[in-house]
Amino acid sequence: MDQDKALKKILNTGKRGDLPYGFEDRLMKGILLEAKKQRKRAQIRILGLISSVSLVMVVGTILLIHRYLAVKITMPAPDVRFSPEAGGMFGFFFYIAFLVLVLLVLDTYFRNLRQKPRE
Amino acid sequence: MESQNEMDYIRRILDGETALFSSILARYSRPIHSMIYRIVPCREDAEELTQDTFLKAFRKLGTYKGDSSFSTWLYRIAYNTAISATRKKKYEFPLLDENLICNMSDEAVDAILGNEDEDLMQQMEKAIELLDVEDKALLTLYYTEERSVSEISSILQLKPDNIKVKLYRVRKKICSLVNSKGYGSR
Repeated sequence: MDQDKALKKILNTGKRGDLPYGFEDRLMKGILLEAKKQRKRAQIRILGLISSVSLVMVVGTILLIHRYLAVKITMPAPDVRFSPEAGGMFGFFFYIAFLVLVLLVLDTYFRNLRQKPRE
Repeated sequence: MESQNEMDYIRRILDGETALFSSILARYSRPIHSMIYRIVPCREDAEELTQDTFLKAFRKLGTYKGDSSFSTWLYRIAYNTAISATRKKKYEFPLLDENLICNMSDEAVDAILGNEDEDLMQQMEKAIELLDVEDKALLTLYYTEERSVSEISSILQLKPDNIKVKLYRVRKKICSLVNSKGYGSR
């Protein structure tokens, strides 16, 4: 539209708003960061895919073995029994462990107290 | 950067050569910012939206199939980003008296838009500021970026005939505003 000379002139010389110095560099940094995130997301997706495929394969294998090989896998529960003398020893060990725990907590508490005034 | 070259660049960027995106930025950041700044009347917002446009373009680069030119695709993202922002931030645009538009003759419109008188041009500049978002985008794409009607129709997602009608009406709107300042607040 050649007849709109004035309008064209206004639009080409008027409010164009120059970009600030370093705008493209800053934007490029954002793009590179986004690319990094995308790569990470892709890695997680692949890992998830591999994990789920592996899980499906393991479950499938177990089901196949269970169905067609008729193998009965039973795990005997451990039979743990304590003698009356062992009971006393356990009491002593628990007392020592409790004491160590209390000392550790006190140690951490006093260390924090000493560090705070320095900060 | 020609279209074949651009396609090659895009393929390489998708293959992991992210640094090549800087050439796309170098070519399009200014015109895209220019269009957004026309639509969004705040400099800081325009800069932020330009940034958003390129980030979105980078994220969606894999979806670009080459049906339209890359610049058209990019302008469409920029336009949609700017439109969403104007809706969210609720920028106010004045309401034009539609009766005034109808009363303008084509000759009068041509005479005003072709007149390079300083005062008149200043009034036209103010009138452009009062146009709505779509009209501003249309003017920038047609007059500043010199896009064809079919490209603009693809960017604004309107039929080419609608674009022609809108262009015709927006020219009249500017002249009506210059002539009578027949607008109120929306």
